[in-house]
Amino acid sequence: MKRFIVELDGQREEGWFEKIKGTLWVHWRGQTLTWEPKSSERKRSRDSDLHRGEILAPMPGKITKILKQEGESVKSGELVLVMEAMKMEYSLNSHRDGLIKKLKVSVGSQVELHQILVEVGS
Amino acid sequence: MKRAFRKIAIANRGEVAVRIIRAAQELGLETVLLHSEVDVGSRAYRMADDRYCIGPAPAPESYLHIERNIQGALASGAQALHPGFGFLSENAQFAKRCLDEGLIFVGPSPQSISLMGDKVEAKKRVAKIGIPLLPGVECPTASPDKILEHAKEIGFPVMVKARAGGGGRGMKILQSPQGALELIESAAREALHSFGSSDLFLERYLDHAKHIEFQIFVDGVGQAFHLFDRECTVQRRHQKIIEEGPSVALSEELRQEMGEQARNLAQSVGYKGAGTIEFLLQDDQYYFLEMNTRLQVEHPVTEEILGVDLVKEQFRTAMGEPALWNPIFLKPRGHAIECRIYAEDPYQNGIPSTGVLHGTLWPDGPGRRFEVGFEEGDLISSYYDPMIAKVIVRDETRARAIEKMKTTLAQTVLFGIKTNIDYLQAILSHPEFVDGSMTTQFLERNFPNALKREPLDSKTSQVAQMVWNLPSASSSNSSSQASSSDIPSPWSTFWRGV
Repeated sequence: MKRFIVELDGQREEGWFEKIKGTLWVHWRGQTLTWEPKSSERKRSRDSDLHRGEILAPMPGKITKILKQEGESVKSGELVLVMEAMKMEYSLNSHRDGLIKKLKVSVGSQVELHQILVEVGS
Repeated sequence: MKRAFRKIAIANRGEVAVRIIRAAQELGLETVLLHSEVDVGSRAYRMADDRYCIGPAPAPESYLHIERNIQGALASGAQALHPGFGFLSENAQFAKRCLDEGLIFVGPSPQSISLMGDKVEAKKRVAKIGIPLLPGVECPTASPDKILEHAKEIGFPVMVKARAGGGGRGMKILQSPQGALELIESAAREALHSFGSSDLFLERYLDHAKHIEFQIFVDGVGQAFHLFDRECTVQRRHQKIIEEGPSVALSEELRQEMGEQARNLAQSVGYKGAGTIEFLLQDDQYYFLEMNTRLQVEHPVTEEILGVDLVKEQFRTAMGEPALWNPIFLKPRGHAIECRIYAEDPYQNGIPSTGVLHGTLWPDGPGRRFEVGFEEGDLISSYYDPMIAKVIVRDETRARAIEKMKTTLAQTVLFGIKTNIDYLQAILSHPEFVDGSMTTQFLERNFPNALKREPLDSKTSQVAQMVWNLPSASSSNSSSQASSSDIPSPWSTFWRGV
């Protein structure tokens, strides 16, 4: 938990906050609220990624399996790669029909949150 | 008869286990916590001198398992056992097994527990010493039709209750003969399922009553005290949420009369230690409800207005010592209120909130007391009652105590787990609570639904957006770093880690 102080019209106000799993917990003016960035870049980029057909890492981890190579065709919902994070496996699927345009990782790659792994184009 | 002991087993968990450990420490007693597998991440676990795992998380395999508790206490070399409240605290068989094995049970005798635990037997005793009872009929093994006939004799509304029951289970309100048969059958099924007996009894239902209880105490040399009253009218499905004392509903004459009745009852059943006599009060007429043969969750209300320590006196009583109280000083001073902090989401009809508790802040100050069972990093699991802490305040008047409680709760911070604090604040601000006129139907009538979350005002969302973007706010699992030009801001921001 951390303290923050804001100054509004010359008045200092104090609050507390902590980011827990992508949610902001704020204690401010006597109430505890949870808040997630709605209009922030994260959401915007997630929407446009869907549109562009990029596959992003949903969390930091390691790529363990690649099922499609560059140039291969892929259907929406089809499994493209598998990653491992926190000792669990996650299947990553394509969001659209198309061709694998770019494969940016290989088996064993360590990836960051929201890193672009695959580009799917037409 | 004086009986010394050096090591005490605690057959409980959460904040009450912490409360008992503290009292034991102050008396120089060693403690062993009898805990389930999941409770290794809890404050009581860290505070106890010794720990003994009595089984897996589900309560029937640990906290409700008589033999495992007995075995744990014996194996860790305890000479006495405190059962806390809930779980096995009112189980006569458990108290008896403790005595069989030479363990001192910090509580009344098994005979007292079973006598007062049988609600029908208890009423017979109560009637004998002249305490008013609600008009009612006892109907063991009667058919639902027969029970309905009795209900008509008493007059509607009437309550059907489990003979062996408590805590709201096996309890139904019959408003009229229509649909009453189904409710009676349902009460019998619940009673059988919860208490192993489908025996029921009927009682007149009071529709604008207050819940008033008296703390009684019989010490190690047989002196019986009444330690005044608490009002626990704010209940939801017979679960208390806010308790206070002294009650605004009692005149001094009535308080004196009920207190004496409670004391007489405790003495007449040969009671020992801390107990509570519960009454319903409607239109200045009081009726016996039941006796709880244990420490109550809300015991700190009494401790604060009288300046006593009930748990330490429980230990002294178990040792055969007299209480240290001088009756001259046993007079209420000011007003105390207790709020139970539950891990639940008031905006989603109170569904339990589970997970890891993150940062907490309990804002200390004069007349503020926090009974806390869990700290940062502890797991709030779904296996047990969701009460994680209690906040108690005392001030010179009720109005000041309400203001102190509202301020204290507004400064209380709990992250990672949703709590009922906003719900408590709404109750504390309700006109019926503020003027003290609330009845046991208060919550059902005024808060029938989940709280409604107001949309964030623009200032609050701006503050949240800004805090989100603080460099110190970024954690490893977030890559979001909106540029500062996103925020049309008249604010300047500072931050520091605490």
